[in-house]
Amino acid sequence: MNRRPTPTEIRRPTLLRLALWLAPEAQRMWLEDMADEHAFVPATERPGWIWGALALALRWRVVSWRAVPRAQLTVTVMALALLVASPWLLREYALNTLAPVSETEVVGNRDRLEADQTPSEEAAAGRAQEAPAAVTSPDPQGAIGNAEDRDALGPAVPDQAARAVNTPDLDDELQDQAEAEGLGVDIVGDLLLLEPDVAAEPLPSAPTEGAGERLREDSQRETNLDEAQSLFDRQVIVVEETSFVLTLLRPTRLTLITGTDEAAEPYLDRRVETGERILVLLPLVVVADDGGAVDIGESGLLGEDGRPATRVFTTEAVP
Amino acid sequence: MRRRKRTRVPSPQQILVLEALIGHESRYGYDLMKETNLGPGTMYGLLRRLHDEGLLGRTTELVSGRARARYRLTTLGRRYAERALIEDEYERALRVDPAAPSQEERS
Repeated sequence: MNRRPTPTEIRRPTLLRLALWLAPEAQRMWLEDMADEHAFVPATERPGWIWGALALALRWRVVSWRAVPRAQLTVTVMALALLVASPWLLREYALNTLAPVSETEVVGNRDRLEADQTPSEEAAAGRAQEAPAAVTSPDPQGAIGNAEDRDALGPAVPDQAARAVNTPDLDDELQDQAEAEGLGVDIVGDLLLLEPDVAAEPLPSAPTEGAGERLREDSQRETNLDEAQSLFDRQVIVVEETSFVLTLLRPTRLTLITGTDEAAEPYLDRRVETGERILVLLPLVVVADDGGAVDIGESGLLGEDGRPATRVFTTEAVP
Repeated sequence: MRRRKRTRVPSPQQILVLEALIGHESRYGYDLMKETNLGPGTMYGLLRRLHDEGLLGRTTELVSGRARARYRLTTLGRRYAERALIEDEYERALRVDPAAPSQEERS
């Protein structure tokens, strides 16, 4: 029989709760993860785990110092003093809280698990070590607001290690950029990474009326185009047609993913050759190591020559 | 002419986490911490950053009646990790082993 846990059944150490309370709202999810994982950490390592959570919460709180409520400010200062002056407190805590986690302990009633995560009898009996009751899978790109799209997240491709061998060499691009920036040709030191706000950009709210244009790009993304083009630039493109043909102008590695979620299982992920024509149905994510090698019809090329590009094609605007 | 915004160079720790994820569909934070020998605070700070950058996905599941988060690479993160691995191998290959015999000694 399923029973909803009451708040008094939430078994989290005081210091972890303090860390959760101190953490800024935007980062609280990660402290929740740490608090959840705490139950699976060996008892001897739990004090260090709690210490890490508290230190992380304080760090994030200090970084996002603006508009701190007075109560949290006071407690933050006190917690900092506590951390600095009383490391023995955690040692004492370790002596008192080394009891193993009981399989019948009831998980706390957290909002994000409310819908699906009522503990079952099987779980209570400890039979299910790995119950795959995936509940939430927030879009890692932060760009997909549609709940259905988020639910459609699939597992990652299993044989990444094997495919690593076939990854095309992108060193030339990095080398060029390194030289352009006067940084020499140290490829390892010039690895590029998307800026954080690129991933968090919203999708276009509505398509604009274009004269004869089949593909229209979101103008809001223009401001961040430079950042997006740093490695795998990703744009959402609204297409009036439900299908179109990709034509390969030269060999490149191409990944096609049904839907709008890049993390989903690709149905094509291989090196394609010159002249290949691929009919694709929307919605679709297209990732190419050489954006200029992929012709997407009347609107031209997928991206710039020699630069990786990621494009999300949808038939309608995602809210 | 538009000025290119300077891109950020990833830390070796971030590369460590990506590499720890690349051979797996998804992993728990504690497992990642053990493999990379990073502290919990450092690890979750890195996970959050990688997630914000779109390189990492996160799923919550129930294990023995408790919530537990798993982390996996996105398509972008996988590509990035693969490239980091290749370049790491490349750097290792370039590194001269002082104990190894030189070309002249071998000949």
